[in-house]
Amino acid sequence: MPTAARKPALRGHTPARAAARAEQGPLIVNIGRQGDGCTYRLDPLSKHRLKAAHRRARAVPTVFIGYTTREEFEALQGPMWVQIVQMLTGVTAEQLSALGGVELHDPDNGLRRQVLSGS
Amino acid sequence: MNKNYTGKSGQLAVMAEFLIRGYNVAMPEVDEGDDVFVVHHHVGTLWRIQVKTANARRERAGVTARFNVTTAQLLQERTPDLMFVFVVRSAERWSDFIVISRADLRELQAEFTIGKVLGASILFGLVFSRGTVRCGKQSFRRFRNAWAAWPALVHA
Repeated sequence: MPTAARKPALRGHTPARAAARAEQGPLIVNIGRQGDGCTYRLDPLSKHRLKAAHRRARAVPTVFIGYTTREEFEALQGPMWVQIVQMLTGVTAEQLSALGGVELHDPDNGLRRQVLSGS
Repeated sequence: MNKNYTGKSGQLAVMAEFLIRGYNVAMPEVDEGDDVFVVHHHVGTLWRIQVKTANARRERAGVTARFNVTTAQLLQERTPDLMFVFVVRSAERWSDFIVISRADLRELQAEFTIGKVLGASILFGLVFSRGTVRCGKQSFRRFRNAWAAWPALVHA
């Protein structure tokens, strides 16, 4: 058995070897919530998937959106998630759905939220 | 040597490097995962720095230093993002500083599965040999003493 095959999967990301298995799943946007807001970034393997499908897409590497309290995170920013993932990917919501949709992951506490479903 | 002494001495070596470049430094009073705050005094830019220090050993592949990074530190998105400085102590001197952003390390780890996952942390082994530095099969040369983000400032 190759050495790489023995490596356990890291919580919150997909090892490259398993990327093929995840190809049908949603693109992952990792988030980090802090005292004054939330940072959004496309997961590295999702970024590669996106590049393979839309080579010319131009996107921003991160988006930071502020809030007053952590408790208002979902209520305040939830309605903006589709716009945020479009900024992070540079493609339309329809194109993202065709790629399997988009999920938000917070590796700090395991929170997951679907932003767009796959078509 | 006790790892507390090793870790703190590496942290102070990194702080000294920032100071000599003209950036102010501070140690957070509460441990939230950052070892050092670096501030560009004139424009107010702040960087979060996480310092990891290791005593290098000569092994068959070359001089090797291993750094333990918790999964939480590697995965957590933050603004401003975390910068890692891996400090290498070799032959009784500070031989190398590997300066790499959390996002870059995360991307390399995810794409090439570098590092060894040990429970809730990942052990990155850096091998220095003939002017190169590698982690697994990936070159880390571009991160070696990569202080370009902090050009020396001139203070009146």
